[in-house]
Order: sequence, then structure tokens, then C-alpha cells
Amino acid sequence: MGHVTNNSIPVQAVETTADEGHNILRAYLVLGFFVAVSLWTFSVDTRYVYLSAYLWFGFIYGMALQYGRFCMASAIRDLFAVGVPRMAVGIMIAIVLFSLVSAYVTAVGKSTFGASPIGLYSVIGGLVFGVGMVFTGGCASGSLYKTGEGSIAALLVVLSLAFTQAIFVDVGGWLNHLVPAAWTASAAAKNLPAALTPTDGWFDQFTAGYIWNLHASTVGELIHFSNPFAAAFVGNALVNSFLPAIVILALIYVRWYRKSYLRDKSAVYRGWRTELAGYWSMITASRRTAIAGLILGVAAGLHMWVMQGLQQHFGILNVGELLKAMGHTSGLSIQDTVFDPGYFYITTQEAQGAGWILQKLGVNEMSNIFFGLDNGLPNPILNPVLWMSFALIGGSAVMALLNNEFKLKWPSAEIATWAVFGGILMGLGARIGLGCNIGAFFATVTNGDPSGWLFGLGMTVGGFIGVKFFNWWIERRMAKEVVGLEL
Amino acid sequence: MIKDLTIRKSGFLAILEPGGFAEFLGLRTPEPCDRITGVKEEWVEISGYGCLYVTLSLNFLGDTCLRTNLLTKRALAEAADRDVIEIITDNLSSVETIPFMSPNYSGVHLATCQDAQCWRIYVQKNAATIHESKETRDGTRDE
Repeated sequence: MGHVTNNSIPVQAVETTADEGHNILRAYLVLGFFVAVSLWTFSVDTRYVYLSAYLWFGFIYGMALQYGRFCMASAIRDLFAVGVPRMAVGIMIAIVLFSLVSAYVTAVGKSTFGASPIGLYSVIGGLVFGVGMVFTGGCASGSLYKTGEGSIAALLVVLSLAFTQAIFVDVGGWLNHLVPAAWTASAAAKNLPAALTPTDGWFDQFTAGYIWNLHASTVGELIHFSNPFAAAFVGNALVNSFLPAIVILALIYVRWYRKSYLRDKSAVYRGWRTELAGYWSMITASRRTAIAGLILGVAAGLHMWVMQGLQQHFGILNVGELLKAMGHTSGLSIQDTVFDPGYFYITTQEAQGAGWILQKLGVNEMSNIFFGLDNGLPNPILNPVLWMSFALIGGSAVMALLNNEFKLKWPSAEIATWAVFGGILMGLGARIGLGCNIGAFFATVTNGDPSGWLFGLGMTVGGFIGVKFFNWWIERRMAKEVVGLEL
Repeated sequence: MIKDLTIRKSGFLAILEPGGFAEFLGLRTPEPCDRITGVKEEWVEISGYGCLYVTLSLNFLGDTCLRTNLLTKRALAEAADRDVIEIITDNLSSVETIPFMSPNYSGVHLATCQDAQCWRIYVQKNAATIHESKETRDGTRDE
């Protein structure tokens, strides 16, 4: 029996099969595909390097997420359901590291980040998203990397949240009756181009009549530091990321880790020294998660730097300008833009993919603000951020194949139902909250934007509700269904 | 002695099965129809622990991590002292989480074995004596 020390948990390889060799070959084939795409497109037009940059960062994200089983649904769910802080700790590590790299990138003027407005919508969106991600068993990024592991249920989640968003941002009808009159009046007063219908559709009126009236700012800007390094490192990183992460870790330690640590500790209790040792023990409990958090944090910061560098190199502010110059004008918004955040982001590009399909089926998706004014509907093979999502799946697949963890898993009808239903909630939450666990939380709090914590608060409460519901559901079924449990 | 644990699949779609809606409303007692959990009583050799007798084997292949974790938690709560539970899963998140959650429910994670298509996780209820002797021998802790 071969013995492999994998993470802090000993994993013993029981069987070795011919599949291992095949898996390595498959991993190289996946990797080779992405290399070929990058090289071929670069040979056609060197400006495709902009899309390839998204692709390779997506690939790195996929590998890191799969290696660390990095999932925000798991972070919240494991805390409330089984009292395990492993993933929540990993996310806090990633937040601290990403914030430090982001602070440097921001201070030297290479950041692509734009703050989101601060408002109650973040909490509500996060709450709906949080309930959904517990039902599906994976957050937006988690569902993408699990798709790379071969989970068809995770693919269903991605498709469900993508089409939900594409439909939700365009639908009017009875939803218009749910719009406050003040939003309608405010949206109408914006004098948007005639091609758009800002007073028809809940999301359009939510965007133009409510969101655009809110104030957006980073903590560094709010404190009014004149020195860009002080604004980035003290305001954004220290105040908005580092200190909250330390406090959250302390709360997790006290509530979920301290008791078991002190119970297991054979040494004598030595006050704060023992407490600090326990705190550190919690942080290093899962090396796999901590390493993944470190890689994600650093890569996400570098991603912004690289994208800003490329934008400066090509003299553009948005990739839409680049696509237009390359002759690809189809699917650009009326501002000649397409979605191009310049950093790690999930959900909007999936919505674009679904919207593009609906558009091809005859639905006019370009009359709404989300696609028509802001994000466009480019062909998926020319959508740079969608390249990142595809590569994220590919990176995850490569990592899973190399570790013999890839398995094509078809869901039961029950799991498929949860995936689709949860995906719908995630799609609604992502639009209301202007992003998902990555775009509205991870990338936001690490760049000094306090709105990210509001989304995180809602997501945590939603996750708690989801866990309580699921626990009730399982207990209810188990109470009736367990037959002959005689341990 | 063969112990058996038979659980019916749950979920929204179970409502659509014959009698499912009545069961959902609590008007009918469900009958076991789909064995997702079997019991095998057998000896397994686990590195560092020698041969251990598996009392209960839980098969969660294809299940979500939340369901796997919650049912493992329930099994640990109902297991007798020193029972060895084998958890069979293909959910990587659960593979990572179960060793960490076991101490919260008086379980000791013994080993995780990677099979061709799944992982087998071995957890023992209230196995403090064994765990301590291993730590003393190895001079290390799992975490």
C-alpha cells in the first residue's frame, strides 16, 4: 500500500491503475489545447495576447481552486454545519495577501479596480446568493472548478446562474410593478440613448434609478490620504482587509476552534501564549488550503497589474476598443465596450454567454443597460473574460487529472434539482448584489471597497439560512427514513 | 452479525414518486427503496493503526458535500465507542472536511485512502487511547 503525505491529512493510495498514465496524458492534452489557442491567436494577431492574459490567469485560478478545494460555500457551510473553520481561514489568508498585492498595484497606478456603490442592495444580493450556493454545494468559482473536476451538477449550476442572469436583466412585464416609482422617475431622467429601454425592466430601473444614485468609494479615498501608498496600504489594505480579516479569524477561533484546541493540548495553559499558539494552529491547520489562498491572493493581485500594463501598452481603457480595431464589432455595447474588469471575476461573463445564445434565438438582449450599455454581447470565442472562465475549468481539470481526482459525475435527479434551483438563486443574487463571491466580495474587500463586506455579511447570513434549511430537510427525511439503524 | 442501514433518497423529486407527496406531508411512512448505504463488516489494514474492524460503511458516492458531512456527523453521533466508520465518497470537499470535523463529534480520523474512483475515509468514535499512542510513537499530530 503506497503512502502519500498529502496536506496535513495522510492519504493512502490504495490502488494504482493504468488510468493514472492516461490521466497525465489527458492533462497534457488540456494544457496543450490552451497553449495552442494562445499561440495560434497570437500568430493571427498579436493583440490577442490581451485575451490570452485572461486565459492564463484563469488557468492558474483553476489549478489553485482545485488544489485547495477552495469554495466560499464550503467556508460558510462547514462553519455552521459541522464546525470546521478550514476554508473560512483559507479565504481570510487569501484576502490578506490579495489586499497587500492590490495595495502595491494601486499605489503604483496599475490597478484596474473600480469601487461599487455602497448600499443595502449588497446585503440583499449576498443573502440570496448565499442561500443558493449552499443549496448547490458550490459558490460561483467553486462551481466552475468543480466542473473541471468532472461534476455535471456543477456545470448545471453554472448554466443555471448564467441563464437566470441573462433573463433577469432583460425581463419586464409584471416585474415592472415591483419597481418603486422613484426608481422609474430617476431612470427616465438619465436621458439614456433611445436604443435602450431604461424604464422597462426591473433590473434597468434598479441600475439607472437606484444604483447609479449611490456613492462609491474605497476606504483609502474616504480617509483622504494624499500619499497614494498610504491610501492603498493603510486605507485599503490595513483598514478594509487586514484588520477585518484578523478580527474575523479571532471570532472563528473563539467560537469554533479554541475549545477543541485547548481540550487536545497536552501542554500547560500559559495564557495569551497558548491562545496565540492556538490561533496560529488554526491558520496552519490545513496547509493545502493555506497554500491555495496564498497563490490565489498573489495571482489575483498580479492579474490586475498585468491587465493594466496591457491596457497601457495598447492605449485602451476597455478591450472593446481593441476588438473594434481588430475588426470584431459585433456584440459591442453602444459605448463600444465589452465586459473587461481587469481582475478575477465570475458571473457576468457567464451571463454574457447565455445572453449571446438568447440573442441568437431572437431575444433582443441589447435593449437593456446590462448588456446594451455596459457589457455587450460578444461572440463567446472573442469574449476575453469568458476565456478566463473556460481556462479556469481547464486548469482545474489539469490539476484534478494530475492527482487522479478527475471523475465524470452525472448527478441524480435530486442533486440536479438542487443545482438548478440553487443556481437560479445565485443568478438573482449575483445581479442584485452586482457580483458573486468573487466580484462582489473577494475582489472588492481586497481593493479597499467596503461594499464587499456588506455582500459578505449577506452571503454569510444566507449561507446560515441555507444550512439550517438543509439540516432541517435532511433531519426530517432521516427521522422518517432510517430503518434499522443499530450501530 | 450483519447490521444494515437502508436509507431512501431524499429531495424535491422524491415528492413525485408514488406516495412521495403523502410522505412529504407526513401522511405516509416511507419505505426504503434505494440502498445508498451498505454495511460491511470486515477488517482493514490502516497504516499506523494495524488491522481495524469496520463496523459501518457509509456510501455517499455522487452526493453533495453538505449531505455527506451532515450524514457523517449523524453517524458519528449514533456510533458506539470505538466503532470504526468507513465513509466512501467522491466529493473532494468532503474528503478535506471530514478529518477536520471528526474531533467535533468525538471521532478520530484514522486515514484517508484514495481508490480508483473514490476515497475511503476511516474514522473511529472515541478512540483517544489509540490516537494518543500513535502521537506518542510518531511524536507528531495530524493537524
